Amino acid sequence: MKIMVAVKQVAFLDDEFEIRDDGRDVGEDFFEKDLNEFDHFSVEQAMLIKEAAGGDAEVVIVIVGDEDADDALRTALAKGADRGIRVWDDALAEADGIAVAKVLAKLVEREKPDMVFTGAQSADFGSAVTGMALAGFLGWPHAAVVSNLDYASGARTATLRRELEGGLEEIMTIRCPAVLSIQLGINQPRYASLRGIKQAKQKPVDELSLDDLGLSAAEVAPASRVRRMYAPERGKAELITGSAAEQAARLAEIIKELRGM
Amino acid sequence: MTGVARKQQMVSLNAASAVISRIITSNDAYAALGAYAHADASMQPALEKIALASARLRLIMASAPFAPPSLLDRLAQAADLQLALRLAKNPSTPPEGLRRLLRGAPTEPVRCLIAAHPQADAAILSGLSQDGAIRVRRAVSGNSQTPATVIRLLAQEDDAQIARNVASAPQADTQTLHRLWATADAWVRAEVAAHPNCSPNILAKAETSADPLIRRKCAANPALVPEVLQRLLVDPDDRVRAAAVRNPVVSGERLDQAGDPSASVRRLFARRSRLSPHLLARLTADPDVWVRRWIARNPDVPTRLLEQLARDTSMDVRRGVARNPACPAYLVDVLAADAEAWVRAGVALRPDATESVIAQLLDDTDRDVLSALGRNPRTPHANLVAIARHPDKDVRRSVAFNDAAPPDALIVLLEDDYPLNRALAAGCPGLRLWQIERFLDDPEPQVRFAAAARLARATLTLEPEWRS
Repeated sequence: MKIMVAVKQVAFLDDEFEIRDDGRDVGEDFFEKDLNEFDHFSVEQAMLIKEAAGGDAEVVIVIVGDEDADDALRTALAKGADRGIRVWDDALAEADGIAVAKVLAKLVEREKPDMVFTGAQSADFGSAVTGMALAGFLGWPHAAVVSNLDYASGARTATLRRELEGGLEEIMTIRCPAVLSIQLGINQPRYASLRGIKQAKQKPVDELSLDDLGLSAAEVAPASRVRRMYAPERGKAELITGSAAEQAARLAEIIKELRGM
Repeated sequence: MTGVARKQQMVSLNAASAVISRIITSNDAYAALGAYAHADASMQPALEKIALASARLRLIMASAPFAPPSLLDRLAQAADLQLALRLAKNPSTPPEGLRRLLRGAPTEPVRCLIAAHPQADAAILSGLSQDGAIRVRRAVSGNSQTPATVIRLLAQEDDAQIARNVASAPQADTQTLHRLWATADAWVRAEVAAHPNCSPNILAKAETSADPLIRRKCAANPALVPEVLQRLLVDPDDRVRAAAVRNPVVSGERLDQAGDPSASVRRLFARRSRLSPHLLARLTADPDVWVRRWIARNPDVPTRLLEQLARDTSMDVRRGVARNPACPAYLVDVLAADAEAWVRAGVALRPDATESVIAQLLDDTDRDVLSALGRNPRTPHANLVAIARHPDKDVRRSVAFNDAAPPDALIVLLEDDYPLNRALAAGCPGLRLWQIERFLDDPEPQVRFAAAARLARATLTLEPEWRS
């Protein structure tokens, strides 16, 4: 039994930052990179299934990214996953969620997992598209924003709960293999032990190129392109304190200031 | 210096040198930062090179409040816009560093940050008070370090925000406050009424002002005479009375307004010390649970009233009694068996808990109780080791806050999966230095920082281990 978990290395912005000279992204000095927060939960879910199966299951972490992405991959491996796969090619430098899903689909064909997990979305771009696009390419059943999962290693179906708008929840049964995008809070992610972190450095990681997967650069060309990234002008805010009369007086003062009275 | 002292110093210098050399060899920015402040001046350049090796690291260090001031000053020597913004925001940037930033003709946002900086000295603030940008002058007026001469000049500006800031500036003098009182703005007058340098003449007007805002600010003035404050204690406005109760000018013994109709005012009474016995008794029986919560913690409450509060239906009130340093031993015993874990946890925090109480609480499974025992210096060492192995990371962490924690318990924490627990343990004085040294290789930057700082500090202060 094999579970594939697709993870991403995301950017966490500083309070102060500058946009790159080409105006299409933040300068790389102004953010930290780390494993996507949602992926901590999807990795944990895979580990819980593996542990419930008495270890008779393999958890494979996959990531699309350059050498920097190794840190995020090793972070996931340190939690107990068995091995990792990193795919990179310069043609993937501007890959969007659809392009990444194409790469992941090739990996699924190669690895033949019984279940694929992704995070519900990435913390930096938040497109929430990769998992569902992957299911589309594979023609697999899928469920997004999974907040509870009842699935035993090797089972032909899984029962899950999804969060819907308006506070509703949906319980559904899904045929396996399937692609599930995992929501925050589905479990309590573990911290990697010191031993786990040391062991992760020794765990096997396959480094694959597009050629290895039989993909061309044209096939992973992004379907979308960032034209411009900018920080919109912010409005002013003031916390008004005091008694009701004092607050009303201050509010009147602000209105007068704004209207130039 | 005696021969022994000279020998000790040599040993220390050698040990320090070995630790710093190891950190330099590791080429780790966070360990270098941790050691920097404690390193010999001859070794600082090598550490600095590691800590500031890349543009990304320079940005991180510039905004880190734990970075040593000398390193921040070094960064200020060649600061571009982004570095300047971070340094001007960083409360640890020293005055010399701020002066360097100003010499680089910074942008208006950077000048605003420097003008509001807690380490900006009189010379910096005086210079910025002449700035052409009103936002910068406003920031100067709001800085508590701004000298009286500058405050006096700024008070002449026709700007509502500057006037309010100046009226609350600690260095504002009586004359300036007098002039500000004459302005029509109620907010400015209110700040004047609260100022300790405000003249008695103005205080007399403020006390009888029709505006409750001005009376409230007046009631908070620490320069009020007790007679005025007594009158404000019976003001018709709740908030004025509340401000008067908070004012320490009137001794608790002279307060007797426990029958105040406002529960929020009575809560403030319950927090005062040296209250009269009959006032304490009335507050103990108050219908408002928050009043009883505060009075339950009041160390002036006599035993017979604490007994009454220990039977209160609210667990928070009983917890207050458990946390009260004046709680007698027999009541502590009763509360140690309380049905609510929150109350038992209050007992478990007591530094005077007896052996039998601690033993009784050690059978508890509640995380709050166990966390409290983890912090308690009277908890037996073997139990602290067990708490350091608890499945809950927050329970385990409590041992790191216990000054009496033995090395055995701290070593368990040094292997903790949760990085914060390792970082806190690495800074604990109970650990031997050789035990900390291996954490210079920890995967978490904060742990390496804490370990390097602890090691470098230990060598500098001649901790006994380095002498042998």
